[in-house]
Amino acid sequence: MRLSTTILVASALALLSLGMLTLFSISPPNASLTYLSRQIVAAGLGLGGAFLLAQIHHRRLRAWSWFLLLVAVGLLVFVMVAGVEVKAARRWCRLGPVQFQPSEFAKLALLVALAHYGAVNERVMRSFWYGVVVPGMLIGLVTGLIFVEPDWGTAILLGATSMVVLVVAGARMTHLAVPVLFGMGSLCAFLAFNSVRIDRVHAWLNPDTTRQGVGFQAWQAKLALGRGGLTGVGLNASLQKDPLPEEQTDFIFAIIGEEFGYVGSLVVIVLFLLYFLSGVSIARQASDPFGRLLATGISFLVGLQAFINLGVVSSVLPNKGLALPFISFGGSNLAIVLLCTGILVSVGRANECRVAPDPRLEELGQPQTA
Amino acid sequence: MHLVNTQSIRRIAGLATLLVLGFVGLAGRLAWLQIVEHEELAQIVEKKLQRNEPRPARRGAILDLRGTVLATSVPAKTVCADPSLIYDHHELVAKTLAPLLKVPEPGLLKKLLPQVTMSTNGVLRTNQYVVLKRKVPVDDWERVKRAMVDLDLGLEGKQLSTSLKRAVKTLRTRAVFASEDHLRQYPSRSLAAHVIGFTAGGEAETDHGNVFEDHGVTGIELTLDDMLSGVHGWRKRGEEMAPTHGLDVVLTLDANIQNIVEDELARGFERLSPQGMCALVVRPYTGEVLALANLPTFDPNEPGRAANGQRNRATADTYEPGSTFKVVAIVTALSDGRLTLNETVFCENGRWFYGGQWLRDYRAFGYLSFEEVVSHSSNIGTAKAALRLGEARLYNTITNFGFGQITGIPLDAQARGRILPPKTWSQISITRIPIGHEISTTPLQMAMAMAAIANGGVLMQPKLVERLQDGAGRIVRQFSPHPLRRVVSESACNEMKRALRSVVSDDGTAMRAQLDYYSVAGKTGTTEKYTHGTYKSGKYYYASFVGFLPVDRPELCILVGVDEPDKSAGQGHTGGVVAAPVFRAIAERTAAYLRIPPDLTPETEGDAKGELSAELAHRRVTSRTAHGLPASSATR
Repeated sequence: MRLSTTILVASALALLSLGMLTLFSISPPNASLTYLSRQIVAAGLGLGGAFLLAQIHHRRLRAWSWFLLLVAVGLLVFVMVAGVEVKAARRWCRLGPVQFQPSEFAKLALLVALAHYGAVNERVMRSFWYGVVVPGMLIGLVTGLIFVEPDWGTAILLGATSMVVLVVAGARMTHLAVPVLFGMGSLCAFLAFNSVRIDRVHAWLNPDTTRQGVGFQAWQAKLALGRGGLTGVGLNASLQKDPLPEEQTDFIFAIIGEEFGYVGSLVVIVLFLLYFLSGVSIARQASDPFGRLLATGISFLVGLQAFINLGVVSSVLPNKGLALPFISFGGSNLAIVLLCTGILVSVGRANECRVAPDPRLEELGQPQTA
Repeated sequence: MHLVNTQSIRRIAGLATLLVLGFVGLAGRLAWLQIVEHEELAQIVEKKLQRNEPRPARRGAILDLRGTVLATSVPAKTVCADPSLIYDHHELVAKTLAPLLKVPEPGLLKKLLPQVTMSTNGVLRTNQYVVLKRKVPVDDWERVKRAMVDLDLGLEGKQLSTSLKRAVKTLRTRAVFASEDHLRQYPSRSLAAHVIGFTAGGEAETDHGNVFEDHGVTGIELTLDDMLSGVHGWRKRGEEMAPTHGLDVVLTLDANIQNIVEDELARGFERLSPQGMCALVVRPYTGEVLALANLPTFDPNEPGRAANGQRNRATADTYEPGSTFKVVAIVTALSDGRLTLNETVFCENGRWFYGGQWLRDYRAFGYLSFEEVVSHSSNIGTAKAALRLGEARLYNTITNFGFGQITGIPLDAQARGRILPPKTWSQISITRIPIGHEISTTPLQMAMAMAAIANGGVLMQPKLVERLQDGAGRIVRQFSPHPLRRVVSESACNEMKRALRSVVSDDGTAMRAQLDYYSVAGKTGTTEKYTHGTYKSGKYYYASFVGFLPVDRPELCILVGVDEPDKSAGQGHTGGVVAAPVFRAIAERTAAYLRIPPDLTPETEGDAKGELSAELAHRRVTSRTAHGLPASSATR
């Protein structure tokens, strides 16, 4: 168990460092701290929080789970009403000098709440009502609020991760097909009436004819990756950072691929795999259902987000607008993903301390914690 | 419990496997992009970066013999804009730039508004490149640049988001940009306009992007375009190639003489109000053209303003040369030994019936010596001299003198003139052609023929370009005088000079061409133009005078042609009356400017003071030559 947490922390720190390095590289020559200054502050806060979370037992989160979810929903409603509008989307909350994205916080809150719900209702998860309808309403509320911001990428990611948690919590596959189909159906319906997104899908399907228009970003990312070759053009030698929009956030992986080549890309993939697999390993060996579900949720959240981001950058998936965990510029995302890592470590540490598990003890303990 | 536990652990493993497989797939996809397609994609980026900046070559200057700049290219800018970067500030930008670029505001606003076009695959695109103005002086461009940076967008003191800040910065610094260009300038305005010509600018495609180029439309600008143009350089990432600037062309023209000629032509034009005038100043020994001028003229800075002034009458107009052409037949007869100047010939008392038609003189002459035939310009005497040559020899000598051919002067507007071969001649042609009818020449051909006689019988090719040199003044190519052929003997020319000198005497036809300090030889010519289907309108004349000085060592050969002098102005219409005074004024001023040693002491009717001043003038010049300083090219 110690091995899993060690690998987890090591890969997280390696990804964080790589992100800082890349942000340094894409900053303008005479302003190296353009992106780094804010990123370092967020990393500091996130690491501090993660350290604290790793110290306390994850079980103590259960008491806060419904409260956290309530706060998250409240913030999402607030952002819908009084959020800062950037590029026709309200995703940002401003509190004094601090800006943050409630949707990032909502991710963690929803996963904690779902894990708690799953642990409480472990025995009845196989029923349609407790296994699908009740948690489905929670998921639908949160992802729906994120969806209307609009932040489709995060909503889809969170929806998919929640499904994974429900599957692991014991819901029946056949039951889950209903909300999955419903979700996909409504997604298609929204897509049909949303010209921006349909354009993105069109661009994804026809990359060659749209490279000057909607597909410009994907095309520039492809060029950057291709230019990198096997070993890359070297740190600071990226040329595609100028034509590539959002090179510091959603498309930062293209710059890594350009500067460090396929070797760099593989390193990133391997680091995410290590992180994901050690998270999964922590989940599998979790001492309690809450820990298992929480660790599963977090591992898949990070893993899926990384997968979608890399898929978008390498033109495998349509453009969604998701950040690359640990690496992309963006304080809220970085802080939350670090906090998540802290929780994973906490779950892992609880496993280590487990001494001769006695099923009866656990069973006795169940009603108390519920 | 255990059942649930193992089931959920199995499910975790299954889902995790799916995601791991997804990552493996990504690794494969990236291998495809980064290794298999690497070459192809990298090349696209390289190519895009190679779309670099050309560095336009500067067009060479055109200078006169003494280095006076007649045409030059100064650096300028072509101001362009990217309408897609201006957002909704078109009106503000148009209002700011219109006065700086000196263009009307509505037109500018129209250019700045983005044009949205739909490409074939249905994607909307806005244009990102419009040329606002070409050939903007560098100072004006600096002002435009500053105005864009200082643009008042009404955003002062407002807190802006990062992306808006970036957009504002782009608008200020990149929405309006400039590319290198050159502006062709003619500082002396219309001076020697017909020799220099003018240019037109256009956008040319090169391997390194589009370049604005000036190319000659006419004149030296056209004929030496390749020499003047140079080779463009380029600049791309990490590499650059300096442009090879065009060569400077040094003409044989002397701006001062050109100025004298144009000045005197203008004066004559005012007096005579003709259709047009032209004048040529040539050095007989070398064929160098020192001045070539036409009226009406134009300003090459604005060639479109005076379209009818663009005709280079001196080389492109043909006319029947009339009496000036008589020298050709007579000097050839002299050279062939068919006659001597002292020999007399019967001039039929002014009317001679030959070949079924009457040939008349303007006065009834009896017996004249051939010298008098020349000085009195007798048609009958000249025709009789030509008869001694025969048709074949006459035709042969005319072509030897260069008539009916391109002279070889490097100008685009040139006429050959017309001389028909003897087999098409009528019976009277041999009496008409020697007196300058049934033949057409250009003023330049006539001047070069006269210069050949001044030069002792050797016809020179007219020389207009002295040398080509680079921007630092290093000579790239020097042109030497080019003798074409010996046409007549030197002794015949010396005889002819005597006869031509008598033309410019008190009892010759060109008494008004006499100079105080120089002996002058020359010949007048007056022809009725063939207009409205007749020669006999009595209104349309071409009057000319061509002569050289000093007679024994000619330095200058000057032709003055007057096209349709206005008879009603009371100034006459004959070459001796109309053209000779202009010749005299040009010759006097040019000779003084060149400090040609005088060969005459003026007859001063016993005025001691005049004699003294003439003596002084003479001494001044001779002493200068005695000190070894060449008085112009007298020492050649």
